[in-house]
Amino acid sequence: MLRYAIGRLLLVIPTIFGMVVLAFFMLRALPGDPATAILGEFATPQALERLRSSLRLDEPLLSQFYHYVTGMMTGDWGRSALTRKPAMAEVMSVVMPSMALAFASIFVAIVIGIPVGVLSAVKQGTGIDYLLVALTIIGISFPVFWLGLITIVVFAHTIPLFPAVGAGAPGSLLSQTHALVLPAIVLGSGGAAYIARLTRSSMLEVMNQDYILVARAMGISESRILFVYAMRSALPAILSVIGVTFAVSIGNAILVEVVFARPGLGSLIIKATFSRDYQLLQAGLLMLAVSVVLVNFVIDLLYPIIDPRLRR
Amino acid sequence: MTVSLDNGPVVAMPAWKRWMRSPYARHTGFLVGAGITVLFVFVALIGPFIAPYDPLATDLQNVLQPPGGEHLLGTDRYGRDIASRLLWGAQASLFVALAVGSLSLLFGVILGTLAGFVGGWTDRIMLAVINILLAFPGFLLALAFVAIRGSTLTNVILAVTLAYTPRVAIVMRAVVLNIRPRQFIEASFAVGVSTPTMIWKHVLPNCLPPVIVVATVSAAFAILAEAGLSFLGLGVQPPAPTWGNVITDGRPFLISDPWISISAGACIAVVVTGLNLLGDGVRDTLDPFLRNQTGARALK
Amino acid sequence: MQDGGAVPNTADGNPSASTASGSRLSVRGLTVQFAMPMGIVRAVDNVSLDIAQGETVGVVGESGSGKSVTFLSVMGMVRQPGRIVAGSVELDGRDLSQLDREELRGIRGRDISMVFQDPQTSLNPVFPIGKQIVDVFRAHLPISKDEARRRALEVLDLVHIPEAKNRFDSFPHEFSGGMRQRVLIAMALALRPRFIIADEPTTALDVTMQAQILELLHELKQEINIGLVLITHDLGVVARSADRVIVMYGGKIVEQGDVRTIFYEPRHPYTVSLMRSMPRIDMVRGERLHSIGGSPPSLSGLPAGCAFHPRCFLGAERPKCRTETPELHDAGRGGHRSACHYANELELVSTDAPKVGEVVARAGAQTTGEALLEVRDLRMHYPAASFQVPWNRKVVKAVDGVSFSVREGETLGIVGESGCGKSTLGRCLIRLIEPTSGSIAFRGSEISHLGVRDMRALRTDIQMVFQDPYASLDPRMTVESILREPFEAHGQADARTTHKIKELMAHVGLNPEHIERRPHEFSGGQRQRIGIARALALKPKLIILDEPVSALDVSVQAQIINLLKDLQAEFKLTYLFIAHDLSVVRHICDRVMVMYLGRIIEAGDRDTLFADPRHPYTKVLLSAVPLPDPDKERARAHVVVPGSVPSPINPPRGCHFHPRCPSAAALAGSMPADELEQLADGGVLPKPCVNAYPDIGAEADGHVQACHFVGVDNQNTGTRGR
Repeated sequence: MLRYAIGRLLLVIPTIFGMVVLAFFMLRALPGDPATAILGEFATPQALERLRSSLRLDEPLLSQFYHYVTGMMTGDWGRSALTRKPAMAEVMSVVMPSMALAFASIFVAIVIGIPVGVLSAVKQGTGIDYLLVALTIIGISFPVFWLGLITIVVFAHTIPLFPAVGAGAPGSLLSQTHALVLPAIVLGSGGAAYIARLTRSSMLEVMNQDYILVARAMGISESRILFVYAMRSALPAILSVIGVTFAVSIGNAILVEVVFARPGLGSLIIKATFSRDYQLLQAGLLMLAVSVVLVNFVIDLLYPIIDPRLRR
Repeated sequence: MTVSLDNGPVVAMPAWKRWMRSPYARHTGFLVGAGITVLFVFVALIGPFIAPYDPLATDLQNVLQPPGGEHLLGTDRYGRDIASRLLWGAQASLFVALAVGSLSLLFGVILGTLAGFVGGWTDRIMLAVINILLAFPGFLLALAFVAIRGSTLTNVILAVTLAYTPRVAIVMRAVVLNIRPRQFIEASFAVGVSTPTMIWKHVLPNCLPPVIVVATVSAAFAILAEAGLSFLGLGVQPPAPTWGNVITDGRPFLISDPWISISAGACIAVVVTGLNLLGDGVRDTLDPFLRNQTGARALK
Repeated sequence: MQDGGAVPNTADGNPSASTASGSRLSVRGLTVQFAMPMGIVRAVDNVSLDIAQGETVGVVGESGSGKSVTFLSVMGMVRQPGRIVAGSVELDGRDLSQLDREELRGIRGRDISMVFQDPQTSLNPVFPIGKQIVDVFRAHLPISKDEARRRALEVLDLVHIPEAKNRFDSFPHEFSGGMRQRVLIAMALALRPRFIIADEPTTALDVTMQAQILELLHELKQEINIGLVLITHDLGVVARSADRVIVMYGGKIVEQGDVRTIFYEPRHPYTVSLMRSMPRIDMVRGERLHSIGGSPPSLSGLPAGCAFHPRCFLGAERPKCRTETPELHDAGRGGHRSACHYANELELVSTDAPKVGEVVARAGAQTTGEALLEVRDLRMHYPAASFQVPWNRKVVKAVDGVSFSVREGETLGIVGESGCGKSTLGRCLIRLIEPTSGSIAFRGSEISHLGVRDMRALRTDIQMVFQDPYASLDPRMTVESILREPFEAHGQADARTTHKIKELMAHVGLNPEHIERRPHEFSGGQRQRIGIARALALKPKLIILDEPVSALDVSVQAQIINLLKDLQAEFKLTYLFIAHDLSVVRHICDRVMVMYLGRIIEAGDRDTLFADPRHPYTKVLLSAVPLPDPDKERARAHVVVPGSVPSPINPPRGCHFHPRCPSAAALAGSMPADELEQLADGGVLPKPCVNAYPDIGAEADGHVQACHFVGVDNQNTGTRGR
């Protein structure tokens, strides 16, 4: 178990390092001279020079990379070009609402997705199954921002149950939770559909296994076969799709934050993009990617609890 | 339990009859999906010819007209005909979907075959890189690419291809690893078939169907991603008629004139649903052996 | 509620109908249909049978005979698209087909339970084995967890799981295949049901494991009063264990009777053909196996009349057989029934029981040829995991120092249980994998390290036929493209190739007109013929046959074996025949090598080796194969060895067989203490067995073996007669 955990951790480190490298080359991939790209065509030569030296663009690539990586490790993620504040601090200031949205949507996805998938599998071949399968296909096909716009029309204007925009009053947990409901459901619906589809197919696969036949031959009750024997065996696959769903949600969260005008990493990234604040953009993207890796690492640690074959 | 039904006599029959007997003809989802997809392709091809108005022509006398009357789906704030913009927009969506689908298929198949067939360190390094790319949420990767390289159609296509190629590659690798140890591969090696011939004649034909399913899904994703980027103002720049741009155009008038955004969003929803149904249908009717391997991963 | 102890349950509705020894399971007119895309398929057709508590009934049939579906129906476990359309299943007069789901569930596991074929997949991998047995108790009895645990330990002891207490919380993957099958038997026995249905319980196991499980079933039957249904395709298993036999074909019972009657006086042509087509380990290499033409019918296209008539030596030409479906009727004493219109004629047909000890002169003197292939000290080691730390590398020694030669024109058999390295060896010889070290010389020239080009050229001389006819043909290709491949690969394809392909097809007994068909349009036996044709295409000298008949039905096996023999004579082929089935090896091979954990432990001329096995492992193997002859099989001594084949990653020190060796254990008793080695588990064994791998000796008659104490040992402890 410990060996497994260490093994997984050893995989996380190169993955994060890979992302850091990817982010490093992002700036260098700017068309033409990055400094000109950042400051615009009308920047003074002095300003360009200053930016180049602050970004160490005048040094050899290897040295740039060295300073960049050591900076990353010591928490120096560069400065926002716009506010001149450390990018790390800017990112951290909006990370909470973003994570709240992401985790709330995953919660919605799990709570809806798994029961729907199980129900669909149990009723395989019936009208309910077809209906649910059709719904889940639609669920993964609707553009999330469009769904957001429609829910705003319906649940914030026609039936004013929830606020249309914002993240709720600062300091008031109730107001913040209230403001989280719509975006979380919108963002979670796609995830719910993914999870339901996979839950259905892995339940069906497990129900065809020999050991289910044996359990039946031994007179174990159908409900126990379904909820203990089959569910437990289907869990690893469901768990892995939860990890994937989290990654998809992190990407879609940007759209949902913009639709609901919520503060968060998504809004920050968009703002940074339009103001050509590449250091901030880099920090924001890296933060999101690292969160995906960490969540998947936690999920990886859950596998051996479910599947004894991984405990060594 | 299995009932063996192998050696029934096979009678030659015309192609259409054989197709009617194939599992595809009985799969409702596949038929609906294929229908939607064919319709979409058709509309995208003839759209510019049947569009009643110029999608860019503003008509300030007729802004924000509701659906019906002169303008089938109404007009936007510049008086542009929504129906015409959507018909032209289908072309952009089809182009993005087709380009991303085929490019990610091409690169994914090459990378996946290489990783799966060569194995060893080549496989390990490629797998590590693919996993790093997979950890980046696809939309995020596309967004970062467009944010840096600029908002053009080519960049949108490259961005989404970059995000989806690893997904195709990892499925291809899984299928190749599944096919490779099978006895018929070994048997062909045993009669002296060379590796390139083997890949071309045995591995690719047997691996392609599940990978095409993933490519279909990536084409569907490309339409969603393009619309999402347009919505954020990072896609094909307005006033170009794309479905994402039409949704964005309608956003300020969401409450008063919802049809603008709703009609464009509905187009995307229907086409993407169609592509997903098509992919599902193909996967359902595939060789069950391959289906198990790819079911989980292709969903990404 | 009753307690699930030794007292058998009584059916609630009819308490007087059964006594402790007299429960009865009756099936009447059972018909099961499957709604398949191509139409309705009748898998079981009007089957009636009775099983009494205390008896063992063998149910024999080939694939598609309906034997498994019949008993799944008895359990009420036929699932969509299958459906019982007629008939009843009665347990002591209580009609199970009228019960609702919950009542039926109460019967399963408690009154009737089941053991399945594959122990690898039959246990839930995510739960400890103890919990799975406890669950069975708790599904039927209102008892506490502790009580259930106590009883679960009891049944685990009953099936001889060593240290059951400590292994109670172990997971299935921590057990060997044989042990898992024991756990599954324990589950089936947990509530002391009156009937156990065992569906091919030993088919997935190695012969030594099979012997252990058959022994266990026999022992349990004497301890507990159960009715055992043994579904199998192996007539040897039936001969060894069954009291009565039911033979099924095409969804119907074609013959039933007590075991001696069925074996010695069969009254159905199918039974007769089946017996004659089985190669037997006690049979001197006969001329030819009797073979039944064609293959088991597909249930979707059963012939009209008697389903067996197209393959029947009696009825093929008779109109009555073609039109009228025969019913089961009395055919002799003791409930012997047969469904053949002309059963009486069979009284005159003998079953060709081989005469023991009769030595048939070897046909021709082919084996004096020169060495075609010389293998010296061949090793194939590969890493046990794809990623390992450098200071703790584990290697699988799949083939570990093997030397032998194959003479031109002979058939050399390689036998051994799974994991012995026989298949790896075969693949090394044709260079599908590159051996780690050692030399392979083909006609004097070294081939173990040829480059890609030379190696491909070598493929024209050495060819291979693979085990699984379903997996070894690319499903997307036509027969023509499959058979064209060897020609194309060697630049020999030309205008005459199609003609050559048709010739090849005719040679292996396929209809050349089927050249455009794809593999799924052929039966298993026909597919194996395609595989053989592919191997023959380049006119090789040596063909490596890797378990070429083990995936086939018995009646088809004989066809393929005969075909291989004919082809050998016609094309002057040399065969290397890899198999786990000693009977087949005995039938087809001139010389035999026995492998255990990567090494050859005994090799010799076939007749000598089978008549006078010297290595203890060879003796064990030979005694473990059940003979399809009830009298002989039951009179025979069986050496049952403990444990299973160890992992080739860390084979036992010294002689690899020493931890299981009955001779070493016996010898230890009569040896002075200073010649014995104390083992970790407390036992003592002779020092050489534990410390040194015995060299494989050389003797004048070419019969070699690797045992320190050959000849010394003559007492077989652990031997048991029945």
